Amino acid sequence: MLPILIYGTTLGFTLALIAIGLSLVFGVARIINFAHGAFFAIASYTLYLFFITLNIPLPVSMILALISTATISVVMYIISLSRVRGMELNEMIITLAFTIIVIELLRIYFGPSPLGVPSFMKGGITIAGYVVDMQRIFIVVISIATLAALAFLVKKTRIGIGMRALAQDEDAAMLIGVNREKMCIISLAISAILAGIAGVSVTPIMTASLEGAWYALLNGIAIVILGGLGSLVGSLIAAFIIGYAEIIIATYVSSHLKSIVALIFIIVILILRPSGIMGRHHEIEERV
Amino acid sequence: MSKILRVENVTKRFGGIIAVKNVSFEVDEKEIVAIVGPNGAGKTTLLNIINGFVKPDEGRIYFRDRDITGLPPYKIAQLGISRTFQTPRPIHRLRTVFNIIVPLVSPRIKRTTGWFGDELVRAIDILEEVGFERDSEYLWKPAGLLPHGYLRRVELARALALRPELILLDELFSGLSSPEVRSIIPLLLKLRDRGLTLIMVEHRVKDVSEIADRVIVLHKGEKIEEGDPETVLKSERVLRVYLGGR
Amino acid sequence: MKSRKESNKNIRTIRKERLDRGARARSKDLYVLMSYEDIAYVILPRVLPPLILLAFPFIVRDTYWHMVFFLAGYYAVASMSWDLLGGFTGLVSFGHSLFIGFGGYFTAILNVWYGVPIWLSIPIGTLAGAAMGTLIFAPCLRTKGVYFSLVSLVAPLVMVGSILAFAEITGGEEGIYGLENPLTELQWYYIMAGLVLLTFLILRKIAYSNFGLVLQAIRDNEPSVKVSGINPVRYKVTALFISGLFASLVGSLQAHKLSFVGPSYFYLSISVGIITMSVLGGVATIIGPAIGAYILTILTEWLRWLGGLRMLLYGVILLILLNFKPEGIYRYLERTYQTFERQVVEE
Repeated sequence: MLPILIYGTTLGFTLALIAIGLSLVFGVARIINFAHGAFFAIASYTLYLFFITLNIPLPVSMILALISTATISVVMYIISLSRVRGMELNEMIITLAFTIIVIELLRIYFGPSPLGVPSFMKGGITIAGYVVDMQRIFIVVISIATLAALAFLVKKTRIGIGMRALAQDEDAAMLIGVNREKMCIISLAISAILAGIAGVSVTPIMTASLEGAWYALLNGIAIVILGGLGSLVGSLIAAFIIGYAEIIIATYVSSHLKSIVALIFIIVILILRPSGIMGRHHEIEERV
Repeated sequence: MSKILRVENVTKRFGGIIAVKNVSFEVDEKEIVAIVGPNGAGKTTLLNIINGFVKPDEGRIYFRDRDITGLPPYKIAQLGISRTFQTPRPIHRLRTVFNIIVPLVSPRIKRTTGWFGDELVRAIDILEEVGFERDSEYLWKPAGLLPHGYLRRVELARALALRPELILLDELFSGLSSPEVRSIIPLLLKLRDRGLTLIMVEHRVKDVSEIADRVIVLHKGEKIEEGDPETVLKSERVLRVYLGGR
Repeated sequence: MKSRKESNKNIRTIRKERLDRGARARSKDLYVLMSYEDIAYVILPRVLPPLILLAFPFIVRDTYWHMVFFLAGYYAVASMSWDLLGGFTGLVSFGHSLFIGFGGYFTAILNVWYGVPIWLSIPIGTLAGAAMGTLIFAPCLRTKGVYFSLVSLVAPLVMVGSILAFAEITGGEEGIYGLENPLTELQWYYIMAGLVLLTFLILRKIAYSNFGLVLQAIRDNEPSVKVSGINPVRYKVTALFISGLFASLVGSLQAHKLSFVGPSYFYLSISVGIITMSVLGGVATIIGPAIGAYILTILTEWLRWLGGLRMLLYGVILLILLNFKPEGIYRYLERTYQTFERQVVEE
């Protein structure tokens, strides 16, 4: 029982970081960002590049990895995405194309097989007779810190208020002087950093792999639908639901069925409550 | 005369805002009823409730003594309530005539008329009825390219194509010049004479005083006055709402 | 001629003016044919492509190219069926391979495990595959189109993983081998060529019927369709099923032709290929995606030396197309076909 709790919690936090970024970009910029999984993979691979290949000290490599992920996300927005803003389908196709390009380039440069990165900290803590390695503790700590920082950013700062205004009513926000393009870029960069933190911190456990990009995207989408598109709190809750469910299925049934959990959750929630567990009422949108 | 529509104690809240508060009214057959009120009075919400886009929190709506509260919009439309939108919503990329074919495909048409003729001919007939010329180029243009005044007519044609018994007109006159308004009024009267019932939502009482049999004034979601246009215009409460105060 | 040359001296600007072809009278379907040229102009573009498709095995006798064209046909049918959803209904599917995979697996299970003969396993497998895919996607049709796109991306990815969990039925990673394959390569070529033509005719008929009109209306403006007394969900589910039938059918044919099904049937690369081909050929035209499929399949075969870079190629093509030329090849061809330019002299 305890291992499930521990693995589920770490997975839940990782998934929460991934999904909240996806949800943030949807809420603020109205972009369904299929490139989100690519950000996750970019962070893992750049960490490998800086830490292992170039032998840069760990904290510096981590920051460099996050910076490169954020930069790539902004570059994607500026060179391509900004040209098709407002056309939902083209945005989705472009972000998917971008993901594919990134994955194929990573495959060319790093090769198809997963790359391992050693744990950041050795040893572990014993909780109720069970040894929890330091990496998992590190994930939990850094996730909580990141989420707290994000909450502060969204609730208290000017940028956060601008973002919330955009999320609530795009036209009204622009009328009172919120720079939409700037906010979109910032939210995309933040979401890339969130995915990057998730990618960087789980790399020692999961290795840097190309499948990781799809895994992150698949679960991110499932969580965002389950939690309600655009709802950050909903994503947080849904991340833990799916995290625990996947661990339980993987331990007691079959690890291959792990990914089907996500699909089942999506279908069930779409039948029972299409707006998600924390989704806002869509009735107002229906107003003519 | 039997009542075609009964709205009983309807209330709707959006979050903390009460959009419609305990509104009841009845509509007779072959009547033109106008719902007027300032911005944010809940007029459009009331139409959305009748039409099924929005589910009321409380209250019931009866169409010909049949409870239609909470039915999906397409079912309500199939029963014979059609509507127009405040901002015209044509199907942009389809040609104007094809816009009218969409309601003609509805199961209601086959059920009520047993008619299997050419939809295209029928669509052109309906468009002619609302004021398009038969050989007008506009008929074959993508509807998104039409000027605003024509879009209103396309909206009306779309609503008529369903062969409704009750039409909800959401600010049909807004954005139209007064000659355009004057050209539509006889059409509405003709529809009434043909046996249709109309509920119009407008901003000002004056706009509808010519044609409305009865006026209902909404303010902040509440019904504050009901009666024929002259009495409503003289009513003190209505004057207060429109001329400020409070 | 002479006077024109003289006047050329005074020209300030030469403007290119686009004109309607003489053979084309005002309406789209009405032609005035005055000469053999006019007749050829009208008939050749309609007759030549199917003739080339049917005569191809006699022009190129290399079996390798027959196989390439079979693959192109496979993608053409799948992309055309994708277009009915993505182009006409506004339901952009990022996982059309779900139908292909279900079609293939059901056929294989019927044929290999239960010994159902090929002439029954294909139709039953196709129907079952389309029904299964529709069942998975149907819950997302009640909500906005975005949900459909999201789920369509997720579902095939999930299937690839779950196949391994049911290894005793699906054969796991290795897939199922040994499907009945009684036909020669040339026969398969003709089956696929016929299917491409048939799919085109059927889907075009559907897309431009009243049913297709309602689908387009749903794409552009769903509330308007609702107040017109039409149940949009019903139309969307029907469109999904029809589209799924064709995709499922090619999966089923492919399974018999290769005598094999495996997780690769669900791969994202197939779905991405379908989207790339549709965008390249022109969305919402039905024939466009087929053109895109033939061009892109032949191109990728040509660029075989690129090896595993097919996906990269798709990605780059998509990115370039959407940024610079989203109308697609077919619409470009259509415009040039309908107009020709003459030089107009302005003083």
